[in-house]
Parts: sequence; structure tokens; C-alpha cells
Amino acid sequence: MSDPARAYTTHPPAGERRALAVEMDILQKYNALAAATRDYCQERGILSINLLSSPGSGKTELLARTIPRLQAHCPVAVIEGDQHTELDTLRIRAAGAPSVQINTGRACHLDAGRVQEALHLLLPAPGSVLFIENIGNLVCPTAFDLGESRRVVLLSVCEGDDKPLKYAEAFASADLLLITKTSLLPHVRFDTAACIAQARSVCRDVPVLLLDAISGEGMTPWLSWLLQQRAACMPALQPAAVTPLRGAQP
Amino acid sequence: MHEVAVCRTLLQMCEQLAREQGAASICCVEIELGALAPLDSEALRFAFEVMRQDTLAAAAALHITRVAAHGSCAHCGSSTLMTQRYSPCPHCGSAPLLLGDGDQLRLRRIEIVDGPAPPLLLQDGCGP
Repeated sequence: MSDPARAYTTHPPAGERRALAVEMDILQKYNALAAATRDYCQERGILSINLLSSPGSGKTELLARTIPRLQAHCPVAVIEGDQHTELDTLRIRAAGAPSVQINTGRACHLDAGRVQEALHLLLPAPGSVLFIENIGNLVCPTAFDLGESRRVVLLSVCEGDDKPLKYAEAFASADLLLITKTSLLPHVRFDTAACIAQARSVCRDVPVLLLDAISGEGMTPWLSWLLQQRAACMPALQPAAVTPLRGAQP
Repeated sequence: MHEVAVCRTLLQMCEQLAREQGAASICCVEIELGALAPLDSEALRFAFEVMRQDTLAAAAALHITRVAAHGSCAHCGSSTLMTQRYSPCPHCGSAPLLLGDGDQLRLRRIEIVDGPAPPLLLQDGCGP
């Protein structure tokens, strides 16, 4: 065939038509990859944390300040997600943790396939805490299960206290809400109680922590929460017969 | 936008099914989209129109069936039709409602035309 592209036509060819019943979830391949990641981490006692927020809420700074504190207790590894550049993964490595950068280009969220690819490269040690810093975006990442153990949503005091209702899907998916940059509270209009009430109207009883990564305020409760969650995710480590990482599926 | 990524996955599923059946082309794709699925149906339709080119679905019609969302209230136990994901219960005002169904995104059926298929052009990994 001289020009393969011409084989596809907008005019349907004559031929017998047949209907195929399918009944499949369109996102099932991603859900299967997420389940594989979840199994991989559970078998190795790895706590995986998906960090969601708008751009500039302080995810990377929080990780950079958390890593030295957390490494006193366990290994830490980080998967960084951005549309472009390796700036964040370089900051994480400077903070002392291994890190892999995913650049999504025009895509607006990380997906389970890309996370699997990053896991192939990173191979976090058993008993690690694995952070997955998602693309800065309070809309699209919400719908995509990465296979994480816990999902943490960040909101800085500079962003307004009405975001939990405006971006309800994101806040409803949270296992923990972190209100960040609290040292700026004297300089911004932010009703903390109202914000927490909004968040709990879409995510019943969601735990909330207030912190400032740069000043250190609130970092101790954050570390405590991480270590509690890690303890809850630590089964007796399985012997050699553990689920191998699957390659990213086509 | 992720309607493009979802549409890519949809077309890959359709192509794989059609090629397994020895089809020359796909003439119809029927999907079910819940009222509270995290996708815009018009954006999905636009993405399909663009991305079906150079696939077995180049001439395919896309049929989208919208499905209403239903939920229940953990506080008063009442069931309700949901038009927004995080509205309070219309009976007792408690929030959030528990979504029962209505966020699905399913490929229901495809219609294929038998015959020799052109070579595969839709490449994996070439994302939007």
C-alpha cells in the first residue's frame, strides 16, 4: 500500500456490519495499573502519598523540608510531576532523597501508567515513604487514581478560604488537608475555621493540619501523621514471591 | 485537557477489539457517560472527531448515552437524584451525599465492518 494514511477513509466501506457488546470501563487500564502499583507498595510496606494542590501551594518546599526529618525514621523517595523542567526533582535530590521527574508535556495530570514507569526507575526500598507530587492543578488530577495509599491535598492561605467548595472533587478525595504558608496569615484574608468547615462539608471528618514548611510551624504533627500512616501500611513484609512491577501497558 | 487522553484510550480499546475481530473499520461507538463523570461530553465529542482520523474509527459515529446520578444520605437514609456532586441532602441538609451511580464512563458496544484492516497507525506513547 503506497500511502497507509489513505487506507483510512471517512466513507465507510461496503461490508457486513456486526455489533460487538463490550461493557468495559474506559479507564480500566489505568485502574489496573493503579491496582498493580497499590499491590507492589502494600507487599513492600511502602506508604505512597499523592500530593494534590494548585501550583504554588508549597508541595515541593514541604517535601524538601520533610525529607531530612523523615529520613531519621525510614527511607524516602519522590516521584515529581510537572508539565516541563526538572527543577523540582533537582530540589528533592538536593534535600537528600532519590527522585524521578515525570514531564507530562501538554497533559494536565499524572496517570497510573506514568507512575508505573517512574517506579521502574526509582525502585523505592521496602518500608519507604514514597511521595508523588502531582501536577499543580486542583481539577484534573482528582479523577486519576495513581495507586496511592493516601491522598493529601494542600491549600495555602494565599489562595482563599472558599476553595473547598469551588473545587469540591479535589477536597472530597482527601485523606488529609494541609493548610500551608500559615506564617502569612497576618497578611491575607483567610478564615481558617470557615475553610475547614467547607472542607468537611464535602469530605466528612477529614483531618486538617496547619503548617508552614519554612518557619517549621506545624511540621511535627505532619511528621507524626506520616509515621502513623506508615505504621498502618506496614504488613509483615512478604518473602520473595511478591508482585513484580508491570511494564506500562499500551 | 484530559478528555483527549480519555478519548485516546477509548480509540485504542475500539481498535484492539476491532482488529481482534478481523474488522476493516468501525462504524459506530456507543459509550455511557454518567451525569457526574469527571468529563465534559462536548469536549469528549470534539476530541473524538479529531482523534478518530487515521484510525479504524475514522468514519465512526459516536453515541453518548447520559445516565442520571443517584445517591443516598448517610444521615437520614433518603435516596435522591443528584445533579451536583457535593450538594447537601435535599431532605435533611446533611452533606456530603453518598454517590451510588452516575460517574461511570463505559464503552458499551461498537459496530464493525468486516474486511481486511489497514495497517496500524495509532501509536502508543504519542500523547496529546
